Amino acid sequence: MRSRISLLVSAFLILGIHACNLNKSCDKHTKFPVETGFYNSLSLSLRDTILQDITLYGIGREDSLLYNDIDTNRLNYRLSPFSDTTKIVLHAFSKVDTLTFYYNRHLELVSQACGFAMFFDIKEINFTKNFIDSLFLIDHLLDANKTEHLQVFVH
Amino acid sequence: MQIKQNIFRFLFINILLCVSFTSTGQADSTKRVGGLSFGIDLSRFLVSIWEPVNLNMEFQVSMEAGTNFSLIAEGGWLTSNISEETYDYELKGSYYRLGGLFNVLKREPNELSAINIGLLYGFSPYWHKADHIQIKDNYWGEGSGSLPINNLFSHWIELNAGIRVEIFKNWLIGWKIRTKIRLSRNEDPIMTPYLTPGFGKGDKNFSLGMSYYLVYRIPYKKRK
Repeated sequence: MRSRISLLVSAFLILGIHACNLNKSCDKHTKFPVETGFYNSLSLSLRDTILQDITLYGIGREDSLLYNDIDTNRLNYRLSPFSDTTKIVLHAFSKVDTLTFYYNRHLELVSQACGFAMFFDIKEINFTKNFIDSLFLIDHLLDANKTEHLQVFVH
Repeated sequence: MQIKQNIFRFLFINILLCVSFTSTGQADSTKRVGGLSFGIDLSRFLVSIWEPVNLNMEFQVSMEAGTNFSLIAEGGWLTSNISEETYDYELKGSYYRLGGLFNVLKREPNELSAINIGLLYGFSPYWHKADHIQIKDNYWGEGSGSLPINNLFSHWIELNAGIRVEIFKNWLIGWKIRTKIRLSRNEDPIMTPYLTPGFGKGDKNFSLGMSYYLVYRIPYKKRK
């Protein structure tokens, strides 16, 4: 009987201590940017393309550029948490294209320390075709652990 | 001759009595006396250490329905109030579980210690609401708002395993590990509940839990 009680108490303490998580700082993602990679539509294999002098901003925030005249093949930007539609304008190759994201939003209390975060579920993306050829949406939920959510093929 | 007959009669009656007493004693010690048990989950008082829970109480009633089988009903309630700089959140609800426990430990007829495997159905009606939510985005700006009370429910199935031991006569203590799989729920399309009472995290469909409980057992008959 004593050995059984010892076993029970030991398990109680070990598992009880293991279950305690006293770290109250926010260690989870609360922002979910769209990680976007640019690729050459003419390449047979998936080859990324450096866009030169790219400028990016959101419609409604024309006064604030997210990227201004940079050379890159990878960008990230956030969808508006206050609307079900976000329009992103891209300037590249002296041309302008617009990505229009349609999505559902929901709030989630991530943790007591992190507070609420807005989660997105992209339903559709429309785009103009001045230098963009096509799109491929990899992750419509914008999982923060993924390095790429959207592939943009340019010509 | 008469004396011999009396001696044989005396021995025969004695043997009969011996066999009779012996067999009666064996029957009593091999019969298991069933019982009704009432318990409280002590681990619920510790939940607030790792979750923002203000109150969580849980009780259980079990009835032995066979040598190694018991029917069990568990019920509890949970309240969570979180007040932070950027939000206030409140969640309240009760939960219920019904099912059976099967003991796999070979034991003496009146030994109460057990290694149990259980299968239960769980159900929770609850509600949540949030006030003064502030969402800040460095690019798109700031917004605030409140979400009114939304009534929710959730169903799940639970498989558990654990041990219990008798520490005093008819008093038992034990623990069990619970694995829970959500069967269905009504969704809140705007705000995901932080917790589901009796289940675990509100955004998960699988949950692991643990209980440490104290039980008092009332036997159907007096135990020897």
